[in-house]
Amino acid sequence: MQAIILAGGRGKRLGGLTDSRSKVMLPLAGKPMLEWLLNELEQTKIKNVTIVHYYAGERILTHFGSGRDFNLNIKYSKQETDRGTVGSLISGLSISENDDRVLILNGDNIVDSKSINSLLKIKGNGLIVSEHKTPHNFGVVELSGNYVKSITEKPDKNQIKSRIVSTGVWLLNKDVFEKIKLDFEEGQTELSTTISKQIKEGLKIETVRTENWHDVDHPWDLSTLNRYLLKRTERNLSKEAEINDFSSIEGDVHIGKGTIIHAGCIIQGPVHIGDDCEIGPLAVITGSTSISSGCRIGPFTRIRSSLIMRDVQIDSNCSIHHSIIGPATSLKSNVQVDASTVDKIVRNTHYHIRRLGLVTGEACMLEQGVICAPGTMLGSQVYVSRRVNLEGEHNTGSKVIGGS
Amino acid sequence: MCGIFGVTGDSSTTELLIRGLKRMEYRGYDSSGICLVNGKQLIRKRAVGPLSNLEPLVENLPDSECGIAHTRWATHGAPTQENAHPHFSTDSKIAVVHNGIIENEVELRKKIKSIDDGINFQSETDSELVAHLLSIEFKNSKIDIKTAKEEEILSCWKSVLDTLEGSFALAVVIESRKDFILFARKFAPLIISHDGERGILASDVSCVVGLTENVFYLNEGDWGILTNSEAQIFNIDGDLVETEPKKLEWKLGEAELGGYPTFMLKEIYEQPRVVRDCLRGRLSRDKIKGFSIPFNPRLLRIVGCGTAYNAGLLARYYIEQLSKIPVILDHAHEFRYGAPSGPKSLVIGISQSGETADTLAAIDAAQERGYPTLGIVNVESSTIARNVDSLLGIRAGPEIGVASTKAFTGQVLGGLLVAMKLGQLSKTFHREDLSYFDRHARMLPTSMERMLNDQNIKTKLWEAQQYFVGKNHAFFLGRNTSYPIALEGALKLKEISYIHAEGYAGGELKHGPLALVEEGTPIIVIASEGSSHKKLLGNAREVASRGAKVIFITHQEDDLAESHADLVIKVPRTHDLLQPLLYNIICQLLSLNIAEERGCNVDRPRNLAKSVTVE
Repeated sequence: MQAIILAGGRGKRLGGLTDSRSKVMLPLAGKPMLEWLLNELEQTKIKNVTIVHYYAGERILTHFGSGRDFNLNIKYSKQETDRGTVGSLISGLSISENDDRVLILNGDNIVDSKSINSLLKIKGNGLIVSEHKTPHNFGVVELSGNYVKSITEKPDKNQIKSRIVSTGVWLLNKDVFEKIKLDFEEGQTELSTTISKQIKEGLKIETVRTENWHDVDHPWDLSTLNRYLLKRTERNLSKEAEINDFSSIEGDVHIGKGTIIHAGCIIQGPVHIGDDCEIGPLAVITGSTSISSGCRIGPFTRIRSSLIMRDVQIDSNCSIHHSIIGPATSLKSNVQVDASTVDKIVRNTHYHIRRLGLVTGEACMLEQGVICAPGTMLGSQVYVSRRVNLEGEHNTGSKVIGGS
Repeated sequence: MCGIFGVTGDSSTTELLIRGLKRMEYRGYDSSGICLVNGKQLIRKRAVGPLSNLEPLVENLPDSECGIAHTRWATHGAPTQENAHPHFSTDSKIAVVHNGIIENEVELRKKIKSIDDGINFQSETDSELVAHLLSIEFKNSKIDIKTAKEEEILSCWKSVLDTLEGSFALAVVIESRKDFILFARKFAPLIISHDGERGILASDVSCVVGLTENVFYLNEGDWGILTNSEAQIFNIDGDLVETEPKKLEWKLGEAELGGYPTFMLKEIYEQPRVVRDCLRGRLSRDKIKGFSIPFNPRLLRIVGCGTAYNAGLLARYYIEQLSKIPVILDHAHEFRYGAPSGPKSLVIGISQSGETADTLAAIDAAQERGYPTLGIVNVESSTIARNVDSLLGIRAGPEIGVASTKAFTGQVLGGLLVAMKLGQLSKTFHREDLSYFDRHARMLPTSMERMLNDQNIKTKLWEAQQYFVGKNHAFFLGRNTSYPIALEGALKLKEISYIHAEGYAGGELKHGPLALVEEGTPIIVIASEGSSHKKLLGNAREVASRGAKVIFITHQEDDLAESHADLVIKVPRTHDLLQPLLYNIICQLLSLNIAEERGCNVDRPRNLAKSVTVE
């Protein structure tokens, strides 16, 4: 049996962060989200995986290749167009015709191997479900015993019948597929809708409950998932890293090869620092922070609970917390980020975020002394001139010039 | 050009030979063949055309523990089955595969005929002669090849090698002797590996990635025998060479398609990584480190061929601008046969494979004249890499697509690092300049990633491609640092799409090329910096007014291009010195799209082969 991973989507709600990579390739605690999922799959009996890609798929191919480095045999299928989940499935299917059952997963979710193994024990069709705080954003599942009674995709808030939602991890028999294909030809592109139809016609789907399912929709979900995944970090200071004796590194800290930690730095885990970074002197990096490879953190800079992506440069005396800094972004000296409780309304849903600082897309440039209000969101290639008090949202390519 | 491969001591020899040939097909794809030693006879299968023509012929061959294989890029004799390797001696007891050119072919032919008039040459190749010479040598020494000892066979093998002039990498198997392969190399690449049970020989490292982790790199004139238990290597004087194998620098995944439709596309998309790897540990805010410049020169000479020459031209602009040291740039073959004079200079050789025959010879010629040498090379185990006084490896990883893409990016960065280091030595490139450059260089991979995934650029590329439908000629114009990109863009287009393309410096336009511009001729103008950019805009006007379709490649902050072109493709803005690399990626993608639209095989363009190891 093989697994089909749907990884075609961009992740539009993540703004500039997904300009040149899809959501599944965003780095969390040192590796792309999709790699975390594949690591879980590797611990099941599944060895063959087909990744269905569409948006920025080349990056997925370049990273995973034939799958050898991940102990999996990976094949790829490119969607013709962005056609919803069933569309993705159909393009994946042409490869798996010889199988009588397939496991289907979403590349932008992480689910643990234990739950997948329980699902694989089911004889017929199966689905992993989970409880969720905001069920109306997902396919809400009504249960009858262990079996699915109905699935309602993104129902109206007032008509929610349960807090149980579909995780999108399905185990399906071939005959179910054939029917999905027929539905697709008639224009039905949502997987859960076409399966609901089959359930009404008598299809039995057994469920497995999981507590370990993580989904990313908005930038702040990245922080949450990063914090969760960082708990798995074990203390590992690469022998090929250059760590000054007069620095203090406590707890579960990973430091990659080629990274230089200068004198007087204080690093308190869980912290993941990639390869070829340069930190300090006298920088302070604490709790639940991931710093991807190739970053440079200047003297006297403090970073806490943040996700710093590839090739970011943060100069001296900056204070960054509860932030997400997109790849190749440059923060010059004395940039201060203020983080606190933020309320955001996205597509009629109210989100109450406990702590949020700055979120930037790719290749932004913040000049000296910029002060960012909580919840400031930037697209990509945003330029902010010196000493601006930055707040709100700024689109890709915009220039924020001070003077007021 | 050709590729040779051999295996001994493995029961699945046929499978391994085919696997090796697949990896080497980029070295030549006119014809291919294998020869197995099986019990009492040699089994030979050969086919003209791509490897897929050979595969059906070898499906049900008996098991064998020893065999050699060859993929050919024709130099002597047309690509026919008779000329395909392996070649046999007249009695079909000796089989040889050869990469290179035997220069005293005519004399040797006469000699063979004079010794034994009964010998029939079965092919037009020079390679066949080696099999006959060895056969004659065995007869003269009165050796029975079935029972002969290794020493006796090696002594005959050495006598044959001593008569050969020119370049060669050779592998020989002998009937009823499934216990060894003879090999030799001189001015053509060959590597061997042995793990105590299985011996492998191959033309280049990328063929053995995944089969072994340790390889022996042979020196010029080395020869020897690969048995089931060990590899014995002798030097040109006949002394046993004791060397330790080296760890392979590449991983298997790097030499595979890994889901990509073509190597060229894969390698284009690898360029952000190449930038990171090439600059790692070498570029920092206050110094350039990690490689040495063997001599502080008053004059530099750069040599290279093809894409490496274009990278050298860009390096010349960089070095002259940043260090104020004059640079003379030559095609390696012109340097080699010229009479370079002037003060003692530093000679920089640029080559992807590090085996390019002319560049290697130019480096040798420079060393004979007492010039210090620096190599900008991708394959760090290659002959050039080992011969130069100082090496700057570009760390691009295996490049399989015949048309070079990511190696160019690495070579340009290599040239830039040298320029900055020279600039620091001559105190014309300052610490502030470096720190400013460094900040932008760190952002370059992300800029590349952004443009490679930019939907707007993809659409523009598609529109640009339409200008080439039904066209047989195209021109690329650049000035200053964009001139080498114009040359490289034209080279890429002609290599893989077979459209006749020329790159010119904008200032040359009125001195001739303008006469070729017709209604609808596609002209790609590549932006430069400063005042030369304005002149280029003028050039765009000149060709447009004669009916050309102008495609302008520039950066996001250029507002003038739109009013001077039919189509403008904009890439992210970066440091002036790095900007040409982003323009070049557009040229690569454009050529790739045009070639695929025309149904060309972009990884294996006709008549061309990767690493030109013959002159």
